[in-house]
Parts: sequence; C-alpha cells; structure tokens
Amino acid sequence: MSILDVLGKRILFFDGGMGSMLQKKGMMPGENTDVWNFTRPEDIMDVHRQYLEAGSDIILVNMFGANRLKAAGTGYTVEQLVKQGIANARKVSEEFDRIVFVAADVAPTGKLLQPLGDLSFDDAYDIFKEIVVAAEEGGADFIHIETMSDTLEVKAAVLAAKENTTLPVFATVTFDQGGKMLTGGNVEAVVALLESLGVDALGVNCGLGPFQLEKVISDFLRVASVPVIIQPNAGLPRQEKGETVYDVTAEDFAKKMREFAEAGAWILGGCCGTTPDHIRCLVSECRDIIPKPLTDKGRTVVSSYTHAVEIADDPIIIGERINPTGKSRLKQALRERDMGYILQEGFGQQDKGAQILDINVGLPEIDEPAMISEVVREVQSVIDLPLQIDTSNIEAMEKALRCYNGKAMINSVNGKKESMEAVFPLVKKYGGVVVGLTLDESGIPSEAEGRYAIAEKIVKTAESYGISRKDIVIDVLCLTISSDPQGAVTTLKALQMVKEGLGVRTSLGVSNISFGLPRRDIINANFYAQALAAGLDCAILNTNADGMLQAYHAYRALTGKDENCAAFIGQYAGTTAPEAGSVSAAAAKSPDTAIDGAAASDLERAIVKGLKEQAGDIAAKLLKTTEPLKLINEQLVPALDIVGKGFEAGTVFLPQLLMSAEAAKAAFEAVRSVMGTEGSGHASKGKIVIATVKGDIHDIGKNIVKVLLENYGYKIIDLGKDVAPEAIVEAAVREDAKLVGLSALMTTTVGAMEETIKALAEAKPDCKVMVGGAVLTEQYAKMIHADKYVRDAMASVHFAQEVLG
Amino acid sequence: MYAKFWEEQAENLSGDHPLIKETLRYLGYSSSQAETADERTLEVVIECAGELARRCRPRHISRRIPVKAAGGSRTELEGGFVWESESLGRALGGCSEVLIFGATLGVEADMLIGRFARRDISRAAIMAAAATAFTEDYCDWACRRLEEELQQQGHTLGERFSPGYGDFSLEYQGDIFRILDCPKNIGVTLTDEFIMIPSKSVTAVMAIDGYCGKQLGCRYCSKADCLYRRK
Repeated sequence: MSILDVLGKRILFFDGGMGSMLQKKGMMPGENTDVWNFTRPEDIMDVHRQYLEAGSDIILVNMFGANRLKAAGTGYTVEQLVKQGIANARKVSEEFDRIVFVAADVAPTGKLLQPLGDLSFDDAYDIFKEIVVAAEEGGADFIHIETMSDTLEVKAAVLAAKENTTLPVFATVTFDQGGKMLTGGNVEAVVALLESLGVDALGVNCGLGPFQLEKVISDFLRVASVPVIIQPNAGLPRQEKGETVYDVTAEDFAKKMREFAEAGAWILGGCCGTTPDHIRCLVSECRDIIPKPLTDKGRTVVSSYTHAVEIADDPIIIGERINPTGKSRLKQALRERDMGYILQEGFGQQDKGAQILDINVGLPEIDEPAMISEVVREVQSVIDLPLQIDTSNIEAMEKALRCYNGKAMINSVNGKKESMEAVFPLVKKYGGVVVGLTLDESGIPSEAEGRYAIAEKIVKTAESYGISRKDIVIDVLCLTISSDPQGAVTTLKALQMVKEGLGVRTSLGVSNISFGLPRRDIINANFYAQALAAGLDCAILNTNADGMLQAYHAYRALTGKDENCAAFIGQYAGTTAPEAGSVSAAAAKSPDTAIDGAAASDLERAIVKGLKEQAGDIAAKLLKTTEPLKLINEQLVPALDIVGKGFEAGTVFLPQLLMSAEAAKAAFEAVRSVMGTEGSGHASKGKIVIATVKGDIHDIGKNIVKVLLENYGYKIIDLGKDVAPEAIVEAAVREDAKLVGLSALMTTTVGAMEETIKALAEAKPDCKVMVGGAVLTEQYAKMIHADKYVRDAMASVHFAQEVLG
Repeated sequence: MYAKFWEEQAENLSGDHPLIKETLRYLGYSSSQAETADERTLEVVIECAGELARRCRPRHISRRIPVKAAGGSRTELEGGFVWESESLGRALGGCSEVLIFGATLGVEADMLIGRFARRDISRAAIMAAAATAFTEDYCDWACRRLEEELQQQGHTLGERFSPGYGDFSLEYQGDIFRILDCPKNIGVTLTDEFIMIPSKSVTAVMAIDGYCGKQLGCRYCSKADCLYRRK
C-alpha cells in the first residue's frame, strides 16, 4: 500500500528524534551513527520499536549521514548504509500488526551550494541520486527529504528523487526564529518552489519548537495546496552542564500540535529532543482528528530564493531591460560576457521598482543555452528578484529552468501545437508560471474573439499536461496602432474577455502599441494606464521610462492599492513636474549647475572626490565634444593617479580610493557606450586574466584589484573564485594574456596557486604572474615562482604598467 | 535573543561606536586617524554597518568536551580526537575540559558583500571590514554569556583559540565541525581546504578551568608583521 492511499484519510504520525535517543545509548561527539546500522543494529531497531510502540505510522530510516561526503572514511558505501538502515527498519515494522511506512531519510549534504558555497548543483544532484536510488532498491516506501535549509539544495534533492525513482516524495525544511531558511527563503518562497516541483507533501521540521513555529505553520497552511507535515523540536535546545536539553514536555508538545492538526496539518511528528513519550502523547491527543480537506489556494505565484511574488490584484512590473533587442551596448556585453554590465541593468531595474526581471540573451552568434544559464546564475547570485526566463530556444529554456533557484516565470508558449508540445513538459517538470501568447499557426487574430479562442486552447492543453490554470498568464498581445487603428481597443477587449472567461491572470508587453509613432512614451504611458484599468496584472516594461512608472504609481494610488498613498508619496514627494518645453524629468533633475559646460578639472574633481553619478554625467557631456581616448588619457588617468599616489602615501584610505575607482568606472562606462555605438570596440591597453585560485572562495581582494585595473584601461578577464589551474591556463592561452593575477587568502590554498603558476609556465611561458592575498609575502611569492608579489591593488596597477605599458 | 542585540546595535551606530572604530581600523585607519576619517567616508561606513546589523542573522553553538589526556603538544579529547599543537596545549593550560565554540554572521554578510562587489566595490570593502568587526564583537558577546553561565557553576573560561593560530593546524577544523555539527546547527560548512563558508565565521577552543586565564590575544600568533596585530 502506498502512503498516498492513506494520506488525508486520517492524521499520520511520524516518529520523533533519533539523535537524542542515540546519545542516551552512548553516541560519541561527532560520531556518524549510520554505521550503527551494521555495528549496533539492535540499538537502532530498539529506537524504531519504541516509536512504533508509541503509535508512529512512519519510521524514518537511520541514514541522516548517509551521503558520499559524510560516509567517506566510515568503511561503508552509501548504498550499504542506506540498504541496511532500511532493512533494520523494515524488520522492526514487521513485528507490528498494522501498516507501518518506512521513509528513506534524505538529509542535507553538509555543504553550501554555489554561488555561496563550493558544491555545484550537479554534484549535489549526484549525491542525492546515489541515496534515492539505493533507497528505492532497498525497499523504502517513500523519500522523505528533511532539515533542508537552502532552497537550491532542496530542489536538487527533489529533482534527484523525481527523476530517478517512482516513489512518493515528501520534503520538509528548517526555519529560524525570523521565519527564514538559512539562505533567506521564507515560507511562501519554499512552498512555491516545492509545489511547482510536484512534491506529494511538504512542511517544516527541526530548528524550532512547536511554540516558536506558530507563525511559520500558519503561513504554510495559508498558502500550501498540498498536504502539510509538521515535525518540530521539543523546544529550543539549551546547554546544561555540557548536555543539550529540550524543555517542552510531551503533554505541552501534543496540545500545541493538536492546534496545528485542527488548522489543517495532515502529518505530525517530532524532531530533535522529542522522545517516544512525545509521540505517545501526540498520537493520543490527535488520533481522532479528521484531516481538514485540502483546498487549492489558486494562487499565481513565482519565487526567488528569498521570497515569492504573487500575481494577484496588485499589478506587477516585469523589468524588460535584460534583452538585447535594439540595445547595442547589451549586445556588446553579451558577446564579451561582460556580466558586470548585465548586473548593473538588473540593479537599476530593482531600484526602480521592478518585481520580476525578464532575462533574454538571444543573439544569433552566441551559445544561448550556456549563456542563459550563466546569466541566470550570475543574476541570482546578487539579485533576489524572481526571474522571467525569456527564450524560444527550448534547450536554453530547460537549462535555465533547471539551474533556477525558485519557481520561475516562463516567457513563453503560444497556441502553436509545436510550441505547446515543447514547452508544457518543461513547465510540468520544473514548475513555473508560463506566459501564453495568443497567436498560433495562423498568426495573431485581428479580433478579440480569435485571441480568446487561442487563450482557451492554451489553457485547456496545459491542463491536459497537469498544469493548473493558476500557473498560466495570458498575453493577448498588442499590435501597433500605427498600422491597426483598432489595435489598442482589440487588445483591451481581449484582455477583459480572457480574465473573465478563463479566470487567468494576464501580462502584456505594453510598448509595442506605439511602434512607428513619434513620442512613443506618451502613447505607451496612456495605454498602460488603460490596460491597468482594464485589469492587466503584469506589464513587461522599461523601468527607465518615467511615464510608465507614473502611470503605475498613479493607478495604485487611485484604486486604493497603495495604502495611504505611501508608495506614491515616497516616489514623488519633493519632485516637481517638468516645465513646459523641457524634454524629460530626468533632464530637469540633472545635478548641480557647477558642472554645466564642464571643464576638464570638473571631471577630475568628481573622480578624486568619488562622486559616481556626477563623474558619469560629466563624462557623458564631455564626450560630445572630446575624443574618448583623449578623455581617458588627459582626465581620467591623471585623476586616478592623484588618488593612487595619496593611497600609497597614506593620506588616502581604501574606502576613498575605491569610491574614486567607482566614479572613474562610471566615467569609463560613458566612454564605452560611445565607443560601442561607434562600433570601434573597446580600446584596451592589454588583457589581464585574474582569478582566486582553486579551493579558495575569498574574492573581495581580487574584485578590488579588478576595478582598479579596469580603471587604468586594461581589459580584465575575471574567472571568479575557486578556479582550477587548467581553467586559468586555458583562459590565458585563449586570450593571449601577457599577465595573470592570482589571489589566495588561506595557507591551505597557496598550494593551488603554486600549481597554477607551474602550469602557466609550461603552457604560456611569455605570461607573467602577479600574486596577492592575506597569507602571501614577498618571500612566499618567490618560493612559488611568481613573477611579482603585489601587496595591494595599486601595486598590481604598477606591475601591469611595467608589463603591459 | 541575538536578533534583539543586533537591532540595538543597528540603531546606535555613530562615529564613536566601537564597532565603527573597529571597522575603520580594518580599513587601514589607525586609531588616531580614525577620528579624522572624512565625513563622507564615515557616513558610508555607518550606513554599511547599519545595513549589516539589520540583515545579519548571527548564530553560535558550543559544546563542552572532556579532555582525556593532555601533555606538551598533545591534547586528546573524548570521542577520539587527538590534536597535536604546542600553542594549543599552552592556551589550554592543563585543563580537564574544553568548550568548543562556533559562530557565524550567517550567509547574509557574504551575500551583501558579494552584491556590493558587483555594484560598488567601495561599499563591498567597507561591508567586509564591518563584517569582520561584527564577527569578533558577536563572538565576544556570545562568549561573555557562556562565561557567565560557567561562572555561576564555579568555573572559569579561557580565551578563544582558533585553528590557524600558532601551530594549531587548520586541518583540525574537520574535527571541530564534527563535534559541533556546524552545518546543521549554525549553517556553517567547510570546504576541502578547511575554509569556512559563510566566510564571516569563527571556530575556537576554550579552556574550562585552565590556568592560563585571559589575555592570550595576538601574542600567540606568529604573524608578527600583521597589519591588525594588537600591541
């Protein structure tokens, strides 16, 4: 019998803590007790037996440490530990004359996943795959993934279980007192993710006691549409004479858990510090409760690794700027893999209020599947907004969805058979909210009714794949009014029909409406306001377009969605409307008059003072009349030299040096945008490959060096942190770099630095190597055959000047 | 408990706050120059430190472990952990029990620093310095509480002694991590090269009732040219 057959018919009971029971049996500090499956099976079985006698329906196999990282050195393989653990549990369960489920326990790897940590998603997946395959072979009834504190890790575990076994999958995660997972995820984010991956039940375990979990559990029950599991600790752990103790008594525990069961939780149990007594009380307190029927909450939700964004009655802005169509500077950045520029676009949109970022990297000459996953990972490493994966390349879509940390928005599917057959399986497998465009084999219908029909076809076909309509957002498309005078009217009519007739949420790329007209901003903003009034839920728009944001804020204030008009006031209090005749609000806001008709000294002053925005603005103005190279050589570099010399003399400190560097960077960006549009490429004084060596994950020092070297006009190929010697050699050879900079912070990673230098000397003897980092000294650098020890960022600039000029 | 502590810190940051002074010290300002750090820098430092205090979720764990045998450079703990280190032996001062300690600012600090590294490197450097200052301060705060608890039971607690100090090899991080189960308890993981992630984390061993008492500090570190060495 499958556990799914019993689920919801009555409350099901897990067991309680295992570790605390084994401590009483003499477990030593740091001991991997999974080995006891072989060495002391009777002790393990005794714990199982006690819980079954207390009334548990489900026992969790003793395999918390059975992964290839933790089991290394125990003398047993993962497969052995898992199978023996299951066999022990099964043996005890057979002593009982009732249905007992044996759950395979899949616990965290003990490593943090990249980009925060050093374990790759694929390696985590392989670790979990080994466990779950052994568990199914060993005869476990279902996979129970638990104590997860990172959304990406739990995703790897769920995918491994779903792709490699046929067993039901449960997953529970751990929260702290602030209601967050270790890596920042809240309840809504984790529910969105786990439901979209198709787990059979989800919930919370460990971390806190039942009393501290009240808010977390009520959030789970409010948003989850699948069964909820609750396994708290017996309170918060406390140290008493060197022992860990828990304070919540069996009776108090059971009473509190009763409240959760009455509120809708279906599966109850305990974690650290809970004992057979706790379970006995729990069972007798809650056995008679009839599980509250499950309801589909019908929420349309996307998520990042920290939070969820619900597409509901308050309109959502999707930032469209990470899309190369018509943006030459972004095209250049993509071709050069200039992630820095792409991230700036992301930061800028987040600052302007985008709630979701669209990611489109489609350029004919690049490897889109590789690029989109790289961009998704890079953006997610620093920006916590949910992303919209925007591509028509199915391979790219799958790659991006697989590595995406959360439940993504997917742009898009359309009414063509081919499109639906390709996209829907991915939506079903990885989860997501998919945008359905109302076009099909015969194009875009000119009438609203035609678009409605396609929307209906999309929704029905999705449902046949098991995708609920709450996970579909329809885009009824808009055709420019310059060619179809009824374009806007048709779109708004179709929008309303789809919302009312199909009950789905809607999205629109608003600015297409004005194609071919002058002052598109006027039409766009007014059309957006009309669409909002017609019930538009999401708009993909340019967050730099002030008119659009004005329409958005005004709409929210006018419809009572902006409580006390707080957001509107926050945005516009103290600003004034642009005067008649002026081009835009941005121009009216331009900084202080001292920079008008800027002289060279103004740019220098802005850089020396570290005034980022001013430096960018002044440079942009100067570039209208000054040659880019002249600007660099006669103003930027001299300004940097003033600061650099001050730093070396001890009169300027690191923060000031770096503020100046940022100001210079802003000026350089202005230069690059001019050079980029002229197609003259980026004039560089030479290429430098930089990296933090393999095994080392500290990169602040390397990043400082990068910014300064860029300031001095070098092209930096930044390979990041934890970079293998081969990758550094490969990049140096490929780019024909004459200089490589290596950073290491720990004594344990200087070996990798030495290895890299050796490999470089063999593969590219004409390449110099400079090294830096906290543990290095002049002498140490000589020992590992580096060409130069650079004690700080300015020293690296001087060596670069020596080598490259 | 700790959350409240940080909230209070975040509200009271000024140029005179010890955390700000310490941050400036890590940024290369000597204590006399710290007072002359220009207004704008100071403003940014306070802003960054405040954001850090509001966002970070520090946590710590400790565990008392009996010393089974100690002598010279060899320290053997219950559970079969044998540590060879002369400087550790000195720091433990013949105690018969140790407190193993682990603490972290959490992943938020790394996330913030990483985010600013891609956005504004000056703020990233300031955040990193502030995070280091905060980590020390948090460890001191947590250890004071542990010490008070032990004192109530009639014990004393020695200074923190961490892997990497003197000849106490970083490799013993592996043992400390097993003893404390840092990944599960405080969310700190260890790389194959014994580097802790999140990076703003500390592990340490402290003597319970050792004869060395306090004030080992920087004297036990062999890096005499350290920029941050306390006199």
